[in-house]
Amino acid sequence: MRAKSLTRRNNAAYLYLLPWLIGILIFQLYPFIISFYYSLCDYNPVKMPFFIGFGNYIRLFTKDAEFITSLRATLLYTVYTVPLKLIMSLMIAMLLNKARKGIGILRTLYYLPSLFGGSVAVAVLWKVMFMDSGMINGTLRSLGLSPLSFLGDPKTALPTLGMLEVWQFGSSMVMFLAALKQVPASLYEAARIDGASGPKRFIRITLPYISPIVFFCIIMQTLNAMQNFTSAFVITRGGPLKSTYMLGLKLYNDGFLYWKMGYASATSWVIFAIVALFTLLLFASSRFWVFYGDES
Amino acid sequence: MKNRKVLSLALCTILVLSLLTGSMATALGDDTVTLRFSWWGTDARHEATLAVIEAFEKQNPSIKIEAEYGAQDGYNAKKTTEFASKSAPDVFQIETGAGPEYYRNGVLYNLSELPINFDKFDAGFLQRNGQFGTGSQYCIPTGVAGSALVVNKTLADKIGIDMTQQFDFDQLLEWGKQVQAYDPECYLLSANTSYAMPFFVRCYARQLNGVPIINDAEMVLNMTQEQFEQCFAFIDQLYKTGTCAPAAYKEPFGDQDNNDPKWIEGKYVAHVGYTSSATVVEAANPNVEYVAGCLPLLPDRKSDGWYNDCPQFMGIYAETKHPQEAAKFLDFFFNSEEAALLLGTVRSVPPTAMAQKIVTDAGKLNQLTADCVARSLTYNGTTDNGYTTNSEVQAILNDAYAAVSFGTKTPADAAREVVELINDFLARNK
Repeated sequence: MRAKSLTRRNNAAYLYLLPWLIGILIFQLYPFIISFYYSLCDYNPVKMPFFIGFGNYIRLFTKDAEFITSLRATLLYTVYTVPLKLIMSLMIAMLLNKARKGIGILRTLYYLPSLFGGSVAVAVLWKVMFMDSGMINGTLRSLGLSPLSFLGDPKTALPTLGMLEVWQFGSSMVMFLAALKQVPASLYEAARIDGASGPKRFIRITLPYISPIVFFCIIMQTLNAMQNFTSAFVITRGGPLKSTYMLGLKLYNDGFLYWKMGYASATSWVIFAIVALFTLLLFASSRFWVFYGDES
Repeated sequence: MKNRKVLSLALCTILVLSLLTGSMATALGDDTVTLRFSWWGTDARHEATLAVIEAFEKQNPSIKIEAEYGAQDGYNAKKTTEFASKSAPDVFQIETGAGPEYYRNGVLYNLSELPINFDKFDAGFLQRNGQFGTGSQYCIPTGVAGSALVVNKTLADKIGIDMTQQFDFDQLLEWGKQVQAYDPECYLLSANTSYAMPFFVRCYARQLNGVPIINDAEMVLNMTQEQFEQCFAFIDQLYKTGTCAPAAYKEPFGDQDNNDPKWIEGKYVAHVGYTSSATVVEAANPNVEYVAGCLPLLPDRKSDGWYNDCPQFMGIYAETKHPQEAAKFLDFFFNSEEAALLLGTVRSVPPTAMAQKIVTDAGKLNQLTADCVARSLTYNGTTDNGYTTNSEVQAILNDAYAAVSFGTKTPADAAREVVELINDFLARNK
């Protein structure tokens, strides 16, 4: 009787889960699997896919100089933005962790840029700000300095896009803030009595305590950076001279402008492989530097 | 428990009944056909096109048209996804360069099989625009357009430059130096890569060989590496002499020259573009006088290269369920006097003599645009729509143009790379 009741309850649970399961199967698992099949095909979206084995992958690594340029831009962008964003968000979180009057308003203000996310409107705003006639160059001029071609110079365009990513530090900041609140004040107290300096307290107490959050943020921000599309598409279109031609933009162009859906799928699987490899390495290294509360 | 069962039963009954009544209404009484129509453009174009839709629906109450419109950004990419999912609009505006690609991929309806009256069009104009060498009409040209040099006559007169008399490519370099000597802040040409590449590469190629860069029938290059090098060497000079504004300066503006403060301040002698962009750059700085300039020619050319075609096409989706109704709408769009008056010149100078007369009589024809179109009609070049205008080939040529204009590649290196990449493209598409 009891077993029957449990089965019925399980069935009800599965029934409630069904919409989510159907969603996952149709909108995530199926595209995931089919995109791998397409990556092995010559696939024009209005024609039937034609199986060519690993032809797309071989072409990507041996004949497509643009892919290497694109990969370089994406990796550089990731290397520029992830550490900067994490350092910035941690610094701001530490500042906002102190009890002050009006701290709630300050926290909200600092989080605001992240609410806009990777939106097109913010990307357009960024473009206008950094143009020759924009606010940033206007400020430089008013200070008697020469204006810079932020978006026209291949050397500065990528860091300019990177600044937009770093500016949106809110979500990491909130997580760091929550993590900092969990660090027992008694530890700082004891360290202070023992004569530990501020930087020492940060390295020996704060960092180990918040290391799981640092670990999580590194993974999430790397995923974000590797998949950048909006800012490169809206602000620079991948230029000048392909200096901001991220892999996300390349696969978009290959698939939707040049009708090479199979080739674009292969690019997306390469991005996936890079991100997966990076995540694995990070997980492997985590036992040396990430400390969980339940560990001795 | 019993109450909940009763409530569930009642709700299910209501749901089933509402579904049944809805589908019965559709099956029994409603013969209305709904067409989807998509285009890109400016607000003026949107307003005029919506007015035409309204006028058509008044005359044809059984046809409803759902308008899908916006900016040009991402338009082609959206079409690709719609073709892939077989959900493209019944009627849609098409970029001229994309037309041959759409035809080859079988997404365009053969309009010659539909009741659309083409009598008001010039037969030769139709043949050159939208038939893709088949003898059947797959697209309809929306207007008459071509390349254009919009000249700031006020500044040109001050410097002593007359671009309304025929000149050659090298003359541009001489004038470029003259402008720089007059004022280092001024440049002869406002040129962005999107507009300047077709102007200085594709047209230069047509003048050199009398034919497009790619021979579509044999899928081979008409241009040699040496010819590409010659062309890129000229482009290199355009930037080294300061004839064109520095590429790094122009880059952030994309193809929106009208947003360039130097254009607004009147620091360029001429804008390299199209007849359809004339009014846009004119409006950006209305304080000076503009004229339509001549287009440069090579002394030993095989053709003038410059030609007159159209700014966009209109087409019907091959998989539409309502080809007759879609044809009826396009027939109204191009042949009705009411539509011609409503549309004015929102898609450049109209494509038929009838519509041209209507907009001229109504005083809607922009004089500068008309002059630019008239100027482009004086040259004998022919269109290079085909593999030469394929989006991937355009990207290869744009990249080479950008590399030379930024000075990161020599003309020889750019030429070698372009030949390699286009040959690779041709080999993959044979």
